[in-house]
Amino acid sequence: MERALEVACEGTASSFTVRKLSRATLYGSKRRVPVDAEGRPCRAAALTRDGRFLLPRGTTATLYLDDHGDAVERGELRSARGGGDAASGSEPQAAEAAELLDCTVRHVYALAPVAVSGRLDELLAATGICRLPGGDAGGEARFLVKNDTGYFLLVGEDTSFAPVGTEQADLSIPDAGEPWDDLDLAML
Amino acid sequence: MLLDPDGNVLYAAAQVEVICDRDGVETDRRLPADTPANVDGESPLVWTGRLLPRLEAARRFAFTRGLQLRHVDGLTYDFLFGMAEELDRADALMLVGAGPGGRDPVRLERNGVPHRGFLEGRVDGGRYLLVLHLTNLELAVPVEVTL
Repeated sequence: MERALEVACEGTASSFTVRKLSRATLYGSKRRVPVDAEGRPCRAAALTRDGRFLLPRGTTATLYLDDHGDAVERGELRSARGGGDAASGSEPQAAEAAELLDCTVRHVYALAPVAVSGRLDELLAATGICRLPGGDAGGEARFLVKNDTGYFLLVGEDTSFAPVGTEQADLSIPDAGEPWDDLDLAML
Repeated sequence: MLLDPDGNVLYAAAQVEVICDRDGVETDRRLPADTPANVDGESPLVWTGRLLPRLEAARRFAFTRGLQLRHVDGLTYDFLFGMAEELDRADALMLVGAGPGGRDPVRLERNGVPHRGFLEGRVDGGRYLLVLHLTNLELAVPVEVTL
């Protein structure tokens, strides 16, 4: 099923279909693969501690356990950061380039517009970037970007970089000048 | 451990580098070669002189890593502050790269993922922010996708 993104902006609604963008989909990919003597690709497997069983990919699974050791379904998981329904109740805001550059991008999605409201296009007219509501509780930020090739959703985290001045602490590592004779590895 | 396609355990396996196109179809394979990092003191990054407006950079690339550059003494403060001031005044990012003329991508570690590096600077009074933004992904729609 195709994923969709709905953006509400001052009473108007815009919708996009979403596709994850990666280097593999954009440029192709390059990876290192182990091969046998005939050049056939091999696969990794885990060996149980007693040596009785091999566990190739696809034979194991991970699950979440609560404090009592009971499994928790993925659908029941909630963000520990709070603000579970942060997507509602606020509006997209036009953003400057610096706001986007203040984030490290974690995920990129190409958006195919289904319906774009005039109000959202007005917001994007200034810089082509707007900050979407939601995801801010844990430092996550979401940006809608429009450029010559289309619309994109960028999900990132604030870098928290701060300007530094002359008062910055000395980052050099001082030499304590102590002798090295007592570096006894035998006592470890 | 590794298993061959017949399920037999392998005690020694060679590695090959497999190149695939955008559809995931293998197009080439070759012996992998180790690539050293290229940002050490002996081969510093090159200030290429190629400026990209800040807004265009933000809308054109996905910056997936960022490194803040900071001074360690008065001399490097002057040097880095000057760079940040120049870039802030230009409202642009400077392409920095490795190798002769800065044409090579930046590799922070041995066999690391290559990135293009852009230096951004901002100043606020006597304080500066100088960040090396790294990207290996353009904001572009894959050609085979009809959107």
